[in-house]
Amino acid sequence: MQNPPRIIKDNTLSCFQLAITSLAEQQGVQIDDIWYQAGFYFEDQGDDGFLIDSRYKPIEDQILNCYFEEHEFFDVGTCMDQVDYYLKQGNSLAVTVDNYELKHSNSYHNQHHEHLIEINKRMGEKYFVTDHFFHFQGEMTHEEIVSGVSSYLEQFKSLKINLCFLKNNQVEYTTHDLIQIIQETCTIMSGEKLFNVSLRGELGVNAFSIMTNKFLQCVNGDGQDEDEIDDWYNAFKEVGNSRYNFFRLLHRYYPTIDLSFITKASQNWISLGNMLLKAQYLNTWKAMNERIIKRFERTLSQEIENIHHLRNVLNSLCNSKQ
Amino acid sequence: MYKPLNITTYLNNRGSTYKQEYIHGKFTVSGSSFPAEYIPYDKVFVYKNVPFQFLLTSNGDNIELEGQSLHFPAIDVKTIHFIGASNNGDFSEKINFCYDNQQKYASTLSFTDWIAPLPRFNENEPAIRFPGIHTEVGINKHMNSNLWYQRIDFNKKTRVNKIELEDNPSMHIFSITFEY
Repeated sequence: MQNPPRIIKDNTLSCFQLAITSLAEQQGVQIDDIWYQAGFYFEDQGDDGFLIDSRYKPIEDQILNCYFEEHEFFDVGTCMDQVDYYLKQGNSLAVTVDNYELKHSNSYHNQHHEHLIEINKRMGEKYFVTDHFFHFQGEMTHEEIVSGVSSYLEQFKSLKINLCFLKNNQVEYTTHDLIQIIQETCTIMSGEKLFNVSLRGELGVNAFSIMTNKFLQCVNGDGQDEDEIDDWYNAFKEVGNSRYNFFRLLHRYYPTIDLSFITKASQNWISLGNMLLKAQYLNTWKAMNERIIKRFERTLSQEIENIHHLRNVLNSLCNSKQ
Repeated sequence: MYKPLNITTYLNNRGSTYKQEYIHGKFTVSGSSFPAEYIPYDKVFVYKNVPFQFLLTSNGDNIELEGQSLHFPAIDVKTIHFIGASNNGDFSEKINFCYDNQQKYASTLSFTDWIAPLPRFNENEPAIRFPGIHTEVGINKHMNSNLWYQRIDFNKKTRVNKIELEDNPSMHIFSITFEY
């Protein structure tokens, strides 16, 4: 570590995305280039819940000047040995920890949460740590890190270390690349596949009716399942953030185009998730039910409307290119 | 000329807490809140020459947006000034200004997330900066927070006696002042 990385204070990225972004940024990658995928996939998994994903291809297949490595561990000792090994080589890395054991977190000795912190350097028995999500940068003892890692393993079954390395071939986005990204988004959101693969779930607008059924079953039920509500919240937040990050990429290259329809979509998803969380925490389902459903409908309407807006943007970019 | 709007009857959320009672915060659903020590509840707060009034009652200190209407005696306004913040995201919502139940002006109210270091919206400026936040497990000095300012200019002096808010419980208004 030459200099400590900047703390990325950005609520549109999860703790995972923040740590990964920081690793990539240290390799010279622009924050806007990483998280632009804003598709929609929904799969009803019956009693096991559901799967929502706004990504439609592996991040490795994006145009990026870096690549990521993820290593999985099932015991704390091996994981910590590898942490020390990578740090010794001069690499910053991200490692999974449980918030419950982090003194600087808002859940210290209160709630268990999956979390990712960045470790930049080892200094004897201490580590220099950057926790973007909690705006923390400073030293943590070996014992504190081990507590966080051990608790994570106990709660969430396996440990992960993430690293980022620079590619040799530097690339920049061209208009052609950006048009392709918008085209991909339009295709997915219209419900069509990008690749010839068999899917159990549905894409884009085609997914909305089955998702609506599943969602209404959940919010209209007599007793809401806490884990399922958490899953909906996390999924809505992830989709909302994906829209904002898609906006961020396009806005960087086309600052004069009105892309506010994308941020509207982002806000709708995030607000919907927040409403769910509020109803759950305060146990106000009856009072919130109608409001949640209204926001849900508004969110889907905006998504449908956005396909049309996005096609207009695409047409104008294609025309100007010609 | 300025006139702070008395929003006492509409307060529905506890967004700030004193050090010794941080556990009562409800600004975020997980119980975080602004440190109340930095909000001048006992006197007029002036930002950009605009006087604001903050209120702390047993019902709370801010209006969490839930689609309510704020009623007040008719006033001819040229600008309305707001102080507020969003939690868990940055949000914009439509806001309607009415007289005798007829819409006279419509605009957008935007508040950046309270722990964002910089405003996400061009309309926002930090009105009060807080060196930390209160959480359900204590005081977090690593996370600074902000109450944001926004002004909405009418094209001409307009008589209003009602403000219609959207339903977005992640947005909070702490103070409103009319300029007339």
